[in-house]
Amino acid sequence: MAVGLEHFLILSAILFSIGLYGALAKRNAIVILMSVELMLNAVNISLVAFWRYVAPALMTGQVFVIFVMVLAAAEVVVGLAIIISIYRSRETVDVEQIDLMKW
Amino acid sequence: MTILEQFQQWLLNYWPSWAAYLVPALIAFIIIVIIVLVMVLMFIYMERRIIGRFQIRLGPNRAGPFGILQPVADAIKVLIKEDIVPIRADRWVHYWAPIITFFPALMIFAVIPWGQGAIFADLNIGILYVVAISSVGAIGIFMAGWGSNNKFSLVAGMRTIAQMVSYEIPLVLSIGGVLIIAGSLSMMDIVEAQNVPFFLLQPLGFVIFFIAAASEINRSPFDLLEAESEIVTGYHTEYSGMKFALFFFAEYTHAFALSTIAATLFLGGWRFALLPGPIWFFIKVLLVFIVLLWMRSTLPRVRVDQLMGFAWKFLFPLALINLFITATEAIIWPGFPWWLLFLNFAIAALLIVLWSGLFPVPGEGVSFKRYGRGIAKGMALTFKHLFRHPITVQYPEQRLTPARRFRGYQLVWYEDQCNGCRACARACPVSIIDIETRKGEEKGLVVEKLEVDFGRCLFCGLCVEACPVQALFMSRDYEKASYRREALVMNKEQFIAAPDKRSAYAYPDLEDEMPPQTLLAPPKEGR
Amino acid sequence: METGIVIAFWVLAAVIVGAALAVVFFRNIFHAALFLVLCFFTIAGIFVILSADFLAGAQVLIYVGAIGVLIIFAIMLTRETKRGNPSGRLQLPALIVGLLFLITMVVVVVSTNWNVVAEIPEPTISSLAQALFSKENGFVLAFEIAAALLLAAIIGAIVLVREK
Repeated sequence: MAVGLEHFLILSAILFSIGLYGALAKRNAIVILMSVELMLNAVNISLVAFWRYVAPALMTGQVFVIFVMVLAAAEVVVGLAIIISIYRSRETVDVEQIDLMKW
Repeated sequence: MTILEQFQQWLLNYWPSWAAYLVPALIAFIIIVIIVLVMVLMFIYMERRIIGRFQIRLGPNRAGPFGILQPVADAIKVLIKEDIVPIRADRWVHYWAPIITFFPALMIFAVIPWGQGAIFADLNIGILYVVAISSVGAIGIFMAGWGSNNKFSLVAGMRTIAQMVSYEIPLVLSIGGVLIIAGSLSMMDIVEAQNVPFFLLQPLGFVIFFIAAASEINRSPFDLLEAESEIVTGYHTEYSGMKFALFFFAEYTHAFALSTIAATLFLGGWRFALLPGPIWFFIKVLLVFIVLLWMRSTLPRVRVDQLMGFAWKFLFPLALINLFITATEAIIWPGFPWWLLFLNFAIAALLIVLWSGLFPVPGEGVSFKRYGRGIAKGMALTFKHLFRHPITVQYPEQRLTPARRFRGYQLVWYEDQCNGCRACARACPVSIIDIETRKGEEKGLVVEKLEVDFGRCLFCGLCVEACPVQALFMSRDYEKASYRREALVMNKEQFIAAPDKRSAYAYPDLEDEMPPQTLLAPPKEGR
Repeated sequence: METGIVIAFWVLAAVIVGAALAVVFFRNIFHAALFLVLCFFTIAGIFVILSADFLAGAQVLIYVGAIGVLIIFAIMLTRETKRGNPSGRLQLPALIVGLLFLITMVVVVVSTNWNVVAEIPEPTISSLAQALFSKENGFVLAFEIAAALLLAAIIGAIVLVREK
């Protein structure tokens, strides 16, 4: 059987829900960041699948994916900077222990 | 239409479609792998011999005629070594690291044009594929540093990644200049667009690409993080046997790959007159590789802070300015006429001299004088060395004459002169001379036992200077290695029976009857 | 060619889902990061199947080459690797939410009538460049804003981790 649009969209949905579970259920801040990256990649897959199957003449799908990649890179940079500076002062990256603003 | 695609189209008439596409691709893959492995073996041989000639010495020339089988000997040595994994190392990470470091270097060869239409895969994104794949190798190096459970490997792995990531940016920006002129990312189109080779139209881009590529593949002078004298070979300290061979191979394959990329992007690929394409391509690749060897044999290593400062403060702004200038020229003269090369050379020279003026060396003024002219003079000297006869000799068939006052391995002792005064034993700072005497038949003492432990001798010569009757001399011997430590303790029978190779140390009037030392260079006037 | 694409898709999809599960569930966080890198690499393969070649190259360059390396560095610097991936208190609610979301998406995808276009697009980078940079309906403003955003992110990150 041929591979159609639904296959890619279901793959994207599975990847997104795995990332969603990881972002909600994990304690290590870096694992949460990795799960957010999984979600962004899932969105990328579905965007490119839509571009290729629904509107291949219009390059907007690919342009959107480029911007998502740029934003994901910027977000990882700032997120990791925040995590490292939290680690420097609290000695932990466990989000269940970083729940007080003052100390 | 590349040759491979034409072959596949022709095979479609005879075979089912999956076989017509798969089998020629497999055959082409095997051919490329064989070419790469043979060329890497040749590069290993060339590196050791040619760096030897740059440094006025013979390279390895014992394994086979002219040492041609030396890489084969290296390969056999590495294959039969034991594969040691440290106890608390992460086994899977330690296992996969060399593989992940080697395969990106091999994957670059899929998009190299070896001749007209002779390319494995003419991707639309050729050069982007190359840049993307070479950034994957960084992950393999970090896995090696992490998986070794060794603090030095870890620090070296992290620093190597910082180095590779920092030098990727000038690399990609200098490629950007080429892409503006060529107008396409595909490697075949870039070669087709080079009526004037791009190193003439982009001299600054070529220099930046070359330096950044040399640093990406961790070659001297940027091999700080994998050199044995620096950080105990860095991230591949804990690797032995076939895994180390993969790292070694990965380094040379990456060097070969980047030489081919430089030849394709800047030197015009397979294009030139008369001879068929692939021959010119190999000549250009060899030229780039020999310049890499030239740099390795001349320049000292940079420190890690000098390394990072050089990338971020010098190469990155220059690459940006180069990109701007190329884009401006693309707007003003869209066809890139050939006489732009004069303008570009002038801009490149001006930029390098001016920008290096921003980093003055304390106490000397403009740093271009020290680094630019100093490096040029050094490289000119090693280039002249290529044409000299090598100074080192084929030891042990030929031997050089040591210096006339050489403080050599054993002592020369004249028994009839010696009066048993033990001045030499008292003068020895390490107390290794053991003398026992007895009363002789006439007056005086006769030495019964004279033992010197040469395992602890400093070769200071104080015993020779202390002897009042000129009975003790140093010798000019230097070949006294032995398999057992007990053989290093010598007694008086060996001193008496030794051949007379007295050294003129402390007795300079003996010099006149001795042959002079073989010098490395003819002495200048006035010496 | 069709069977080639089908085989490639199923193999890559299995690797992606497996690697994503490994990222979330493995206890050794360094191995989880390596599986994330594998996931990124395989998604580039999916982009190649979908004829988006420039995006595949950009995916490997940006995600594997830069983001992967950054995440591994951060794991190195925040040193709780052996048992560094514990599960939080919200395991069961997260599982329920994830499953609900998945079931909703699958039902929506399967039951919608997509207007699928039959032709295979010609992969050209120049049309992508035209879409990004052309004057009439290009995305030049968004491009410049993205560049300014990246600059702000870099400066912000440097300020955050600077030693006082």
